[in-house]
Amino acid sequence: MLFDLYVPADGWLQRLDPRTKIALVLCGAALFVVMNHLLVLLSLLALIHAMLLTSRVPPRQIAWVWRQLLRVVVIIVLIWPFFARLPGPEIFSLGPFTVTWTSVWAGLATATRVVGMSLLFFVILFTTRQNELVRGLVRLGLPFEWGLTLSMALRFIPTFSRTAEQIRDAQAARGWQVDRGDIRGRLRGMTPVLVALVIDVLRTGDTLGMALAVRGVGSGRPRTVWRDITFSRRDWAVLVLIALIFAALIYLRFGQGFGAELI
Amino acid sequence: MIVTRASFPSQLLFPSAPMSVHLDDLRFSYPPVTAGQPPVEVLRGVSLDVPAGQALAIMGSTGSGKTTLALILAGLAPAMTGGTLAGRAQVNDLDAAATSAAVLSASLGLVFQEPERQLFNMTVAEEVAFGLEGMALPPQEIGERVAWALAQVGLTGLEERSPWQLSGGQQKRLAIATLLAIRPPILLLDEPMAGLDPAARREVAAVLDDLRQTAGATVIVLEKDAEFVARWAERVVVLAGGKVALDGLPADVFGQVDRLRELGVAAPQIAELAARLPGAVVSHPLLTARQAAAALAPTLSPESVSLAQAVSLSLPLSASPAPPAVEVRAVTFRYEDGTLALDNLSLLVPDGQFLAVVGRNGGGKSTLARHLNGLLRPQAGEVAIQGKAAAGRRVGELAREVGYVFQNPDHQIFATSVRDEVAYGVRNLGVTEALASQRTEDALTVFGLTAVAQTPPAVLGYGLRRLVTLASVWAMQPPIWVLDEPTTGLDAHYTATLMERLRSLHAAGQTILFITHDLRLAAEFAQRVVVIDRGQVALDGSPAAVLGDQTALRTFGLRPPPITRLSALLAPHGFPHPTLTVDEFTAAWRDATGKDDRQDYTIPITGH
Repeated sequence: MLFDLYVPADGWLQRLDPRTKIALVLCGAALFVVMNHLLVLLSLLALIHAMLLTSRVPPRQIAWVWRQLLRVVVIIVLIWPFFARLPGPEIFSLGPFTVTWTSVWAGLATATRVVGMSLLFFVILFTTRQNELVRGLVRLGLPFEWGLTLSMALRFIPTFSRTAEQIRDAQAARGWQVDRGDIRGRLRGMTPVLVALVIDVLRTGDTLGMALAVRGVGSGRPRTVWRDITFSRRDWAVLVLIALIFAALIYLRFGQGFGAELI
Repeated sequence: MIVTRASFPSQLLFPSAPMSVHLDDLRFSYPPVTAGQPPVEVLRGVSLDVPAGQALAIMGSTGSGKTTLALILAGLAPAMTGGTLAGRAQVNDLDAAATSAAVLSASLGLVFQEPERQLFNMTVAEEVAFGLEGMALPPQEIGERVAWALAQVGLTGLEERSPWQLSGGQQKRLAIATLLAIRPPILLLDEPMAGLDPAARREVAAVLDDLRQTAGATVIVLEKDAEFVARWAERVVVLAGGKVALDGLPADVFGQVDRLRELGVAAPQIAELAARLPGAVVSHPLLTARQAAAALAPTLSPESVSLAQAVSLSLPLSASPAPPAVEVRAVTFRYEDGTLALDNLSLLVPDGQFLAVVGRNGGGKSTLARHLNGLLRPQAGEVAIQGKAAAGRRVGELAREVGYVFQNPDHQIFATSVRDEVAYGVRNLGVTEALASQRTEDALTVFGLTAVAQTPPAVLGYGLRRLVTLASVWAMQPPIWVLDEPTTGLDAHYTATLMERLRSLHAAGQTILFITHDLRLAAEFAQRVVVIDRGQVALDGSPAAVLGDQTALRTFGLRPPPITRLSALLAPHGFPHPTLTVDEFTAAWRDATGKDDRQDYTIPITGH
C-alpha cells in the first residue's frame, strides 16, 4: 500500500498513455486554482471521484487518501474562518476574531482545493505503473539519466525502508531505545540506526553504479525501448475532450465570470 | 519447484577469442583508507590463462583478491574504485584496463554477489530487457531474448513480478538472466551460492550446470562452496595473498587438504576424509560421497558388520537443575501480509544446550528466533526465557538474557571505532563504566580484535565485521545466545574461528541456538538439531537421529552432509551409519577394517 500505489485493474484511466494523464492532471490543477466558487470546486472534486471509481480504483484506496489528508482538512476548516476575516454575515466574535459565514465557506473551499489537487496526483499514481510514468516523463523531454534516477529512487524506497527496520531490530537487541529526552536527544539517540543506514545506502549505491555499468550504461550509444508507451486514438480523443472542456471553462471563468465568486 | 529450462542455442553467443582471459603479472592496489598510509596491495602478480569454454572456479579466503580480480575483468577497477593497476589483463582480446565497463560488458558479464543491489527495475522482464535496450536492439529481438533468458534460468511466468518480491534463489537466477540475455562469451559470477538455502543452491547449480555444457561459453565462478566447486568446475584456481597459490583439476587441488586449510579455503568433506583415512594411499583423490563409496566398499569385509557399534540416537539428557533456557509454548505468528510463519510451535531448550535450527528459507526459523528476544511477540502461545515469561518485558531488558547475533553484521555497525562498537551493548545494560570497559577489553581480546580497536569497524573486511558483532554481544555476557546464520559469507578460516568461540561459550555453560544452512556445522557442533518447516518443528533429535534420516530430510529440502551420505552408502556393507564427522568416520573405519594406523594399505579404485 505504502510504496507502489498502482492498482492493477483494467480501467479506462489505466489504459491511457501517461502523457494524457499528465495533461489531465495539469488542467485539473489549473481549474482548482482559477475557480473560486465553492460549488464548482466541490463538483470538480466529485468528478475526480467519479473518474477513479469508473476506473475500478477500489473505494478503500480513495478512503486511504482521505485518511492521510484528514488532519490537514480538519485544521483548515477549523482555523481558516478565524484568519480569513472576509466581510459577510457574522456568526460570532471571539476577542479579536470575527467569524463570518463567508470565511467558513472560504475554509471549505481551500480544503476542497487541497483534497482535490492531492487526489489528482493519485489519479496518476493509482492508475499508472511507475515505469510507465517515468517513461512518459522521458518522452516529454526529461533526460534518460534523470528518469533512470527517479525510477531507481522509487524502486529502492521499499528496500531501504526494510533495511531501516532490520537495523532498528539489530540495535534494539543491544538495548537501544529512543524514548528519552528532547528533540536533540532523540536525534542523537537515532545515531546508531541512521549511521548504519547511511553506510548501507552508500554500499548499495556503489554496487548499483557498477551494476549499471556492466549492463552498458555509460556507453554513449543510443538506446532502444522495449515496451514503449503508445499514444493511441483513445488518447487523442481524451486529450481533445480535456482541451475542449478546459478551454470552455477557462472562457466561462474569465469571459463570463463563471465561478469567480466564492458563493 | 519445477525448473524448466530451454536448451542453450550456442550460435546465439558472441564469437569468442581462443583465450577468454589472459592475465600477465597483474598487480593492483587500492588507495589507502586513511591518508598518509601506504596503498593497500591486493593483487601481487597474478598470471593466468583461461581458454574459451572452460568452467573455472576461483577460490580464496576473504582478502585474497578474488572480488578485485572480478572488478578488473569487468572494467570496473580501477575506473570506478580508484587504485593503480600494473601488468596486463586481457578479456577476449580487449585490454580491460583501457576499455570502459560498458564496452567490456558485451564480452564479459559480471553477476554481483548481492542480488538486491544489482536489480533496479520494476519488473522481472524489464530487468532483463534493460541491458538489451542499452545495446539498441530492436524491440522484437529484445522480447525474444527476455523470454529466452528467463526460460534459461527457470523464471518463465514471473515476468511481471517485482524483482524485490522474489526469493533469494530467484533473485540470483534473475541476476544471471540479465547478463545471459546480453550473450557475452564469458560469464563471471561472484559467489553465486552465497546466502542461499540448500534448495535455492540446487536451483542456481542447475543453471550453472547448463551453462557449463554450453558450447563455447566460458563460465568463471568465485565461490566458497567447495562441495559445489568439486562437482561443477573443470579447473580450480586458489588465490592467496594476491597470487595464484594452487591451480589444477579439482581432484588435484582438493587433494591438498592441509595446504587449503593454511590458505583459509574449504575443501569438500570427502576430500578431507580421503586425506585422513589411516595410512591410506589414495591414488585417486575422492571428491564426492558416491566416488568414495565405490572406492571404499570393497575393503569392507562382511565380518565388519559385527564390529559396527551402535550409534546413539537419543538426545543427551539435561542434567542441569536450572529452568529451561528457552520455552516456546504453542506459539502462532502471522505476518501482516497474511503469511503464517509460526503455526502452534513448541520448543523446549534446556539450559546449556547447543542447538542447531535448520530448514528452508521461509519456514519460520528467523521468526522463531525473533520471538526469543521480544522483537516479535506471539499472537497466541507463550515464550519464557529462563523460566520467566517474556511477555511484558522490553527487548532491551531481554537483551540481558538473550544475546542476538543478526545475519547481516552491517545492520548494527555504526560506531567510529571497533572499541566503541563492542562497548555499545554492554553500556546500554546500565552496568558501571568500569565493568563495561573491562568487559569490552575482554571481548576485544577473546575475539582477537585488540589490534584494530581504534579502526572504524565499517572499513574492516567482512570476516572481522562479523567478529565485531559477536564481540559486542559477548561483552553483554548473555547466558543465552541466538545466532541467525552467523557463518553466511565467512570463509573457512573465519567460520572455524566463530564456531570455536561458540564451542567455548557452550563449554562455559551458555545455551547456544544457531540457525544455519550448513548441516556440516550442525553435525560437528550441535548436541541437537531441530528442523523447522512451515512454521512447525518438523524433526527434532540428536544430530545422528536427524541427519541420519536422509528420506525425512529430503522432504524438507535438506541433504545430510557428504560424510553422512557416505556412511549411508556403506551401511549395506556393515559400516556404522550415521557417521557425522570426518573424525567419527575415521574412527569407525579403523574399527570396521581392523587395520592399524601404522600398516600401509591401498584403497582399491574402481574405475571412477
